[in-house]
Amino acid sequence: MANQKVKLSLKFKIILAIVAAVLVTGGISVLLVTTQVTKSLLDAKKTALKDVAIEQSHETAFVLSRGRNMVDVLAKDIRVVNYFSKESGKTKKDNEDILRVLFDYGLARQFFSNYLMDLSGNTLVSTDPTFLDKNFGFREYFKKAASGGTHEELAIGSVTNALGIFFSAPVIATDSGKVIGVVAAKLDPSQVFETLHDSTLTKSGYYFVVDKDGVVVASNKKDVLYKSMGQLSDETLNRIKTSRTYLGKNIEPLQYGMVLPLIANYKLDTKVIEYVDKVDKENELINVVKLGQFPMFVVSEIGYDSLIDSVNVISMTLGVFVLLALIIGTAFQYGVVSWLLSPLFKLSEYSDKVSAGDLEADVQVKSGDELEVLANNIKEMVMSIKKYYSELEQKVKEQTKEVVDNLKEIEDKNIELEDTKKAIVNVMEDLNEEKDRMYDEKNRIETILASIGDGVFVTDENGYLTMMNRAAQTMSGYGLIEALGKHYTKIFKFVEERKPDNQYPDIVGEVIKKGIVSELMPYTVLVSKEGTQLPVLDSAAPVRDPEGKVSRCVVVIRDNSKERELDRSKDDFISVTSHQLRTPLGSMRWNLEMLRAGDAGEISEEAKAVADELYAGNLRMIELVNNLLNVSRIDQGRVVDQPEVTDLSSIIDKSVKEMKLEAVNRKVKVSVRKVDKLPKVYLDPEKFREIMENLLSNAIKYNKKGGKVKISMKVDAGYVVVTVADTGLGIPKKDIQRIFSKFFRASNAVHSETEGTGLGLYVVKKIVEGWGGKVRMESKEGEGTKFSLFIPKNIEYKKKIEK
Amino acid sequence: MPINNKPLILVAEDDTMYAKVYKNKLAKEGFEVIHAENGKVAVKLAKENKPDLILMDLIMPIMDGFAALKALKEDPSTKAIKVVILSNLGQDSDIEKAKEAGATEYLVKTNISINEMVEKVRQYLRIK
Repeated sequence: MANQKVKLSLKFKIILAIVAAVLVTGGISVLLVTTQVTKSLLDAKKTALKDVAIEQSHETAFVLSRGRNMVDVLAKDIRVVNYFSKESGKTKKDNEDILRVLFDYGLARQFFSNYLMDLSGNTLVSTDPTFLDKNFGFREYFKKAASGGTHEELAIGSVTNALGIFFSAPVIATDSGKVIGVVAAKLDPSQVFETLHDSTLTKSGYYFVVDKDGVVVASNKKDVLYKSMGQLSDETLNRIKTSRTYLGKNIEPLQYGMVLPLIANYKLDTKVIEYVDKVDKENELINVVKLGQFPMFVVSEIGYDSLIDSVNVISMTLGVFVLLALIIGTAFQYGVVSWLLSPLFKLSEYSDKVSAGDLEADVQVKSGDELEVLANNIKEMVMSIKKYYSELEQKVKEQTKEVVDNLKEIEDKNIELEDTKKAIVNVMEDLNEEKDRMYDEKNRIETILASIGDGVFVTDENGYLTMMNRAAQTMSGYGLIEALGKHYTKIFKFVEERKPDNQYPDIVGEVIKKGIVSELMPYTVLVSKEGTQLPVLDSAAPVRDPEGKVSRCVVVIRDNSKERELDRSKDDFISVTSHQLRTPLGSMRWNLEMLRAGDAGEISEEAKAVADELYAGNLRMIELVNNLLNVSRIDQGRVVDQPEVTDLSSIIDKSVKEMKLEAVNRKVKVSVRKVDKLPKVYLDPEKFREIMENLLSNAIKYNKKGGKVKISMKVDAGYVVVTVADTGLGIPKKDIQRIFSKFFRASNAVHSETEGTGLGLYVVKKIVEGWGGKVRMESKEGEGTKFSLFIPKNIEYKKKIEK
Repeated sequence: MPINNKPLILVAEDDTMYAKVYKNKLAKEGFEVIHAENGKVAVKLAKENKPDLILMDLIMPIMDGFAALKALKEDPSTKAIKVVILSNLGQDSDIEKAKEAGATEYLVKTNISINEMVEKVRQYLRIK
């Protein structure tokens, strides 16, 4: 709080404010007064001008309308009509008679000349003899009237060489309605425009009488006659020239061009007022008034510079008055302000002292107004400041101590923070190690993929290649750069070994669609870029993103050529082995059959019994070999399925028939129960026959004497269910689990029957499962067994297996 | 053509035991039998004797049954003679191959009885 010096005293400020206020308001009022006065004076002048112009135009128009009426009436006068109607040549008397009529009209209106014209424009009769035998056919008023209209126009007369106002009207025959002649009248305009000369208006300004084109025909201004208000168009000038309206006078433009558009608009307006700045730099008012219905206008012009001068005088006076008021007022205000502000000065002194630090200073204000209250308030404030200072000192002491304490605490916290930082750095180091480890892991996976012998490629969800390892590149013959981003079918051309022309299924597409692992068709070859064929075995697996959506497909391709080679030798081995086994068994069979039939000579009953035993063993061995062959083929998936639309029940009937002898021998009753409309199934009928024979044979063989076999069929939820139930030995509980295993025979069956290879049920199960179906078995030892085959109604042969 | 008017059957069979059974049984059933121990001999005998029916084994030394069948079917003089394959090869591919080469029927020896074999012989002679 420094002790400040007063730069601008309060007294000075107040006076300055008042002076400014007076100046501003004074200035504004002078301005307002000036504009308002100018505006109203001008308005008044405009109104006056307009009123005078209208009044005068009315007078002039009245005179013109009298001419118009006279011509109209004359044209309809029966004597005039008769005069023109007369067919034979007009006699001298006719002309004298009709001239009298014309004078009758003319006498009433002495400044007119009346005349009659024939349709060629020749003057027949006229009150002005100079018109006689003249032709005015070129005049516009004649042309208009001859074609049936009326007209009036301003023109310089070709006879009088003076300006005239011409009126015309057609004479129409009463019978035919045709124009037979023209009545015309010429009016001396000098008398018409006389009133304008004497007008109050023209004393301070000018008037112009202009025709419809804006050509001046009368004015109180010099050197303007037969000049146009502004620049006329060439077309208009040309028309005026050809119609000889002003007898070859050169029409020059004046400076009143703004009047022309008003005249052109004469149909709508009769009077308009305009401002203009003119060549002589005077402010002017221009007024245009149309002369009633006639194509003539009166243009008035007055200056109002004098008006502005008088307004300026008023403004000056007002300004002087304002200045005077200001000087007197300021002196007066100075005294008042000094008196009002004296307590304030005292207070100012006091506050100076206080702010200098003298809290013991005092002030006495007894003005009795707001300033006294203010002074007391300031004193109180000073007292409280005094008190506050002493308290503040105490507080500062206390807080200094506190700050010192806090500093210590902060120091402790800093040490703590340092420890935390160290810990974080340690964790960061650990994280880095983890990152390095992950990087190593990734490298390792990449190295594994690269070094793996199998081809591996990855596609995106649309089958486009995103990755492939070295082996896959070698197998396909395509490099990484040319392969990535392409659809996998363009790079990996899989074909069926035996049917290379067949469309190969889109394995990746299926995997992505179904989201399950899928394997390629057996006997697939991969055709490389160079065209070499590599037998491959492969599987495709979906890769799911964290949301569980299949986003990629990984395909592993294995070079299968060695296995394929092995397969072939295995195939040959089985073929040869079975052949080698069958050959002695077969010849043994035929020999035994001959022996038993007595073809090799009669043998004893005992020998025959031995031969029977041998024969049964021989047949079992043959069956065993056949079944072995069958099973190995099934195991290898090398069984040809030749599906066709198959009626299952007819095959069942056949099988039952074939086993009938066996059933009768064992006294087993076989019954078949069918459902109506059992659907036909698309499967290999030979396979189904094999199944039925297996099941039926078991059901009969392992039945008890007088037992029953019931076969039934039904449809159940997409499956055709064939059930074969017997009342035989049943299967011991301990064996149920293994009943479908290869070479398994139930313990009780082994004892009761010598036949049976233990392969039948295995074959049944394999075939049905190959169709996508299932086999169910229910059995109770001693009561019987029930096999149910669930065969899908619509078997999918997508993996058609071929040897 | 044999004079005694018995149908002449040519059996091509390398296995002596089988050969003996064929001869015994077919002779007993009233047929004339000539035997060839391999495909080459069978073709030769067929050309010379024009048998009524040929029973052909497949696995034989020197010339196997497939080659012999092919040779017989290619020769106009033996083309018309029915050839029934009687083999212990029973794979689908073998059957297909033989049928394609012109075999009238394919029978797996172990799977038919000797009487069935005779029945088949009678059947094809009748149809002749």
